[in-house]
Amino acid sequence: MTNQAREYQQGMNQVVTHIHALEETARKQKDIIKLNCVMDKEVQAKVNFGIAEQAFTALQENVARADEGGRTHEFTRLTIINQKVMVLGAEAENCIGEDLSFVGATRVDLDIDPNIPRDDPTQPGVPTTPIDRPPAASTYM
Amino acid sequence: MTFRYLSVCAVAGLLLWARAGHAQQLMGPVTGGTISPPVAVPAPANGLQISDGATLHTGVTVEGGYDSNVFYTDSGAISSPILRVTPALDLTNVARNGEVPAGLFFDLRASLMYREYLSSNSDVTRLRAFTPTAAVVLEHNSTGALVLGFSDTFSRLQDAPYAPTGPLSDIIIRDNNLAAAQVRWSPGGGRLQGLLRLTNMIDVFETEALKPANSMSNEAMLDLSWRWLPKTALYLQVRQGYVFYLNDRDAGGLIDESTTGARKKSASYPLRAVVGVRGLITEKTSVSLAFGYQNAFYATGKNTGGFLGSTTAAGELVILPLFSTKITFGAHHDFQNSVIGNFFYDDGVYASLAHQAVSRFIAQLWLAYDHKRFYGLPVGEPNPRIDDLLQATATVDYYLRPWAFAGLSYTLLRNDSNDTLGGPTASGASYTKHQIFARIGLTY
Repeated sequence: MTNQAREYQQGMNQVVTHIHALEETARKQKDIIKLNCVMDKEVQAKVNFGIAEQAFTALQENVARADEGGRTHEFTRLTIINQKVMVLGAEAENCIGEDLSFVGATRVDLDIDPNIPRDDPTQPGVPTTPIDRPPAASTYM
Repeated sequence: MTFRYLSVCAVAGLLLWARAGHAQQLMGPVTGGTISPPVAVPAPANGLQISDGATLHTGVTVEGGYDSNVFYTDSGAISSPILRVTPALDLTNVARNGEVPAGLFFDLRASLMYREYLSSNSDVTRLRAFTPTAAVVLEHNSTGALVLGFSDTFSRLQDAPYAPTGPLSDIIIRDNNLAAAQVRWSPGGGRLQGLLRLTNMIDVFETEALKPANSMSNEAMLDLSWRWLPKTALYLQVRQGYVFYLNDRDAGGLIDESTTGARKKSASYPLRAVVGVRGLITEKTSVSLAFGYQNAFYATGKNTGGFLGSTTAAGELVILPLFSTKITFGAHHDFQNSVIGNFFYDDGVYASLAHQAVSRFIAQLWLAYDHKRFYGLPVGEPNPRIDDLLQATATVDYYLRPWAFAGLSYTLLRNDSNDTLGGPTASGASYTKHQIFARIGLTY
């Protein structure tokens, strides 16, 4: 759950960065309508990102306290905020007409047959300590 | 196998077992069975969260049992009940769901076993001992293509002396530290993979008679593999070692001084080069095969040689007939540096069975037979000395709760040697030893 939340945060951060890049593009084009539109989305995205950071901190605290209910609540908040930010990212692209050209980073989904062992048997063995009792060599040792 | 699998395997806790004072060595490129200190294995869901991502586990195991042959003799065996108490600590960043972190992984373990012989014989009760062990495993996987690893294991072991009384009655105390650092790289899609590992082992005896065998072993290993299937690889592995002894004490009781003229144990530069295959051959079956060249390159005294002596081979077959059952068969031919003489050839076979039922009942069986030929022993001893060692362990554990278990174990050691060492009451030649324990353990 914490790892997924961290992925959400990274994804939202990328979206905010991307919206900021779109804002720069609109500035260069000197198109005030596009700029206003993108800035509006950027402000909303940043506010949501701030809320997400609070939720992530609260999630970690709940994990530390082993508070199952609180953890689930904060994770749900994060999921909703993440969806909002993704929508804002798409809307920002619409502002300057990039919705068809930006497809996001390539994502690879990998499905592994659950019957296949999870460990990697192609790796060499690890060194071990020989701790056998040494045999006696002679009666006068 | 990367270092982090060590911890994963330990957490799984199914296939590991410790025998009293004995441990299976790594048979070159295959596992040769499994080893573990007799400590409680905590469930990853338990533990005290001490920081973001770091969990402290603790546990204690109490074992009560019986040793049929404390001094490893063939006749006049002295038996004794034993009590063993082993508290342990484990600090790790494995997640509570058992997931190993993708970046930095660490696992620090420590245990302290106290052994008490419940006997009226003072020669036996003086063998009471504290056996500390400590281990650290670090691994960093930054990009997936480059993995850095470090591990260190220290143990101080005490075992019965070669005689209850007299000049050889000093308890055998052995301090051993094994450190390893490795870098593994797998560029591109990971089809080609290289691993460079440096290993350092310091082996020190506090027992006077064995001090000439205090040694340091260094080894560099280069392993290059090509995955022709996702979980099956062909490989080439070269290991070059350097073994030297830490003092100039007279080793007359351990080696043949008369023919070599040397008074201390000989340094050596063991070389092993093998090719083989390891990995899955079906969904439920994996193999590890190796065949190649070996040479001990001792500076003085007896050396490995001949076609068989220069050949090393190992094979292991692992079958998973059910999701929770693992069957292993293996065989190997190789040599090992030896405390007595220079080295011994080791021809062995082994088999193990591990089964888990309803997540609570864990049964394991392990059998091994080794035919050892020791070379370079003192004049008057058989040359080669031939030992046939049979080892067996059976264990059953039942987890009453995720944090509590109870179990039984039985261990057999049977050694037949052509070295009488002065008679059947001599220790460490031919002997039969049974050990049975009942244990309970608590973990958190």
